[in-house]
Amino acid sequence: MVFCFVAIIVFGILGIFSAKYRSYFRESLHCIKRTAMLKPCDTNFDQQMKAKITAGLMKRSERLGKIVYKQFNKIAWIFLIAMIISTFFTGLSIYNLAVYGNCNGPESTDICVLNPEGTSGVGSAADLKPWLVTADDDPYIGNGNITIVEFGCHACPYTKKAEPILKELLIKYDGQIKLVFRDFPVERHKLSKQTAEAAECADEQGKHWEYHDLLFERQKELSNETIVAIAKDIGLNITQFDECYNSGRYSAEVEKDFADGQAAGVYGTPTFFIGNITVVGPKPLADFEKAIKGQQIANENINACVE
Amino acid sequence: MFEKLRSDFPLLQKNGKPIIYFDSACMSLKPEQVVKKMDEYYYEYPACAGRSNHKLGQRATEEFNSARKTIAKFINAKENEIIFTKNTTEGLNLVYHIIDFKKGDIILTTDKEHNSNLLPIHLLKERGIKHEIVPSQKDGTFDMDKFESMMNKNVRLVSMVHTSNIDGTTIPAKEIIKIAHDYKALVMLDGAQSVPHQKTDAKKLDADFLAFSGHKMLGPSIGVLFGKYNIMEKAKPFLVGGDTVESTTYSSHKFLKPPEKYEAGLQNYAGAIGLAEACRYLEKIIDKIEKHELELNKLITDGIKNFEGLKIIGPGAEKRGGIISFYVKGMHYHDIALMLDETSNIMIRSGQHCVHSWFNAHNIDGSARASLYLYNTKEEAKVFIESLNKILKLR
Repeated sequence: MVFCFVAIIVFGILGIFSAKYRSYFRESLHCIKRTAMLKPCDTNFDQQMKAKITAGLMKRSERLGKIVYKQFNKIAWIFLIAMIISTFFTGLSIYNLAVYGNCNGPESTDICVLNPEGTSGVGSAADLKPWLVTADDDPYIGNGNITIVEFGCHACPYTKKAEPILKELLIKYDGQIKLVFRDFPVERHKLSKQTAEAAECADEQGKHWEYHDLLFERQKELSNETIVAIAKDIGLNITQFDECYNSGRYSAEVEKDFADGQAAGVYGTPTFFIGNITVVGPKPLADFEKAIKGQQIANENINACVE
Repeated sequence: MFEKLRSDFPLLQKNGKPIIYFDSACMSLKPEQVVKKMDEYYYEYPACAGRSNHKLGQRATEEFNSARKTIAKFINAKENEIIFTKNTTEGLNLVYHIIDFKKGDIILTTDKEHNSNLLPIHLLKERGIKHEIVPSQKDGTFDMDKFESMMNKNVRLVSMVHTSNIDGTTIPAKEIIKIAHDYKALVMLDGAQSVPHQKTDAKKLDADFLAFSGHKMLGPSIGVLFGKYNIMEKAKPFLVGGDTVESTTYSSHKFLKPPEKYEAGLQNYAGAIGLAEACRYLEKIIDKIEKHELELNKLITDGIKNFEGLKIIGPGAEKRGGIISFYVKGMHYHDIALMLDETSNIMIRSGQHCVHSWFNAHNIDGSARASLYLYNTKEEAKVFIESLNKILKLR
């Protein structure tokens, strides 16, 4: 009986992809209807499934088959409870995504798997305008004729997730690429604007990237105290840093970056512009490499035309 | 000899994991000859028999009549004593409807009757007809002394299952019939499980009615009711219509003679022709089938009887024909059947086998039942024993 509740969900999903499972779905539905009417299941569906599963397992391990056969109902209960819990949290996540734009709730900075783009924001990659993007005077790392302009947010978990990939790219394409970081503080991430301004203050003392790395490392514990503590940890002149940070010296700079990003169609972080090619979200290394190679070819073609 | 016959059954020749079919008490496999004969009807002369005079109609009539003759010969009856029905159930019901029971009449049965031979009596009880049951002996065999003691002049019909589908025991029909006739009672045998497995001679048995099914004896789904001509001629049919009458006016009718009198409407011609072919197939081997099944039954019984918690229903293998019904402590009978199917392609039946009354009376939930037939082999029996042993270890 319990198995039918598990089966209807499993075969309901499998039935979308294969007709083979639809009859099982119908049988489990019938079984549930009978249960709802307080009548016993009259098709032996659960027994048939138990036999199929046990026989399948017995081919691999008789011991496993025996355990599943003996504990079938208990296992079905565990699956059912797990499914109910899972369904509850999936529903909650969908609600959060719809209401707050993040499936983990309004205050969370954790990654949301329900967001297919894997970015912190809502919009469309088709609306991006790479031709409007410049490196401006923002901090950069690496040297090369291919420029990657990143619009990122130090308080955003997706921007953090892209960091190891970027580090790998900088090593692999050393001498070929230059990475520029432009601020795009996402309002719903706590201290997003403050961290952006603080990183600019660190850049004033030539230590933007050290500060940038530590902000990501300690992203989960971000606070006003952390912002100052990181500055101390990387050996910044604290008086100068405090004065810079507290005066909001780079507030306008950060706002300009944000405005430039918006003008270019940036709708979430991180967003990368590699020439005319865009990468949205912490995509795999291969996606970046494809973009870099595409840009290399584009550069070669331009040179060929010149000749 | 039986090993050779297996090549006639296409299902047993399929590539891949072979099937082991141990459910012949429910439905037998069909040899190619039977299927071809039925195909022949559908492809070459799919017309009405006994009605249309065109070439196809004539051929259908010829084949249908010939089928009746063949089936009559198979059970040593006259062809006008063979009435085609849908199945055994319909044959039994037909008899209950045509006997002019009177209030106080007694119907005597065994305690192992199929629902087909029990429910019609339940309905008759509403008209004041009494139902008395001859209890079996402890080992499940028929209690002749008890039967004799229960016979009296009020017994109108002795209606009994010839071979039980639960435990395979066969009642001593000839003696029973003789005693019943001494008391002027009619006798009906449910031959669904006997006619396919042992030589049945209607004349020698002297039963008044004998019902059996084609689908349990290599044929298609069709039933046959043997009914003594003199009884069937006098009785009134319960299903009437096309072909049951010579002529009608707006207010009168004249019935045909048996068997047509009882065969209302168009018949299952392909079924009758297919069953006749099955009878021709069985005719040459029918005397040897029972022995073959008993050998296999003994092999299986010896192999499984000592499995812990396993109980075989009925007496020793030598009295159970091709039936092995059993239940096991700690494992549901449906689980046993399903697991045999899933793990070893062995097909058996599980449940109460339409004899709920017996299971309820004995407080047994149900049983797993392996039922054998001519195409089963010793190798299959061994695989069955091994597989069952393996499955029972899951407990």
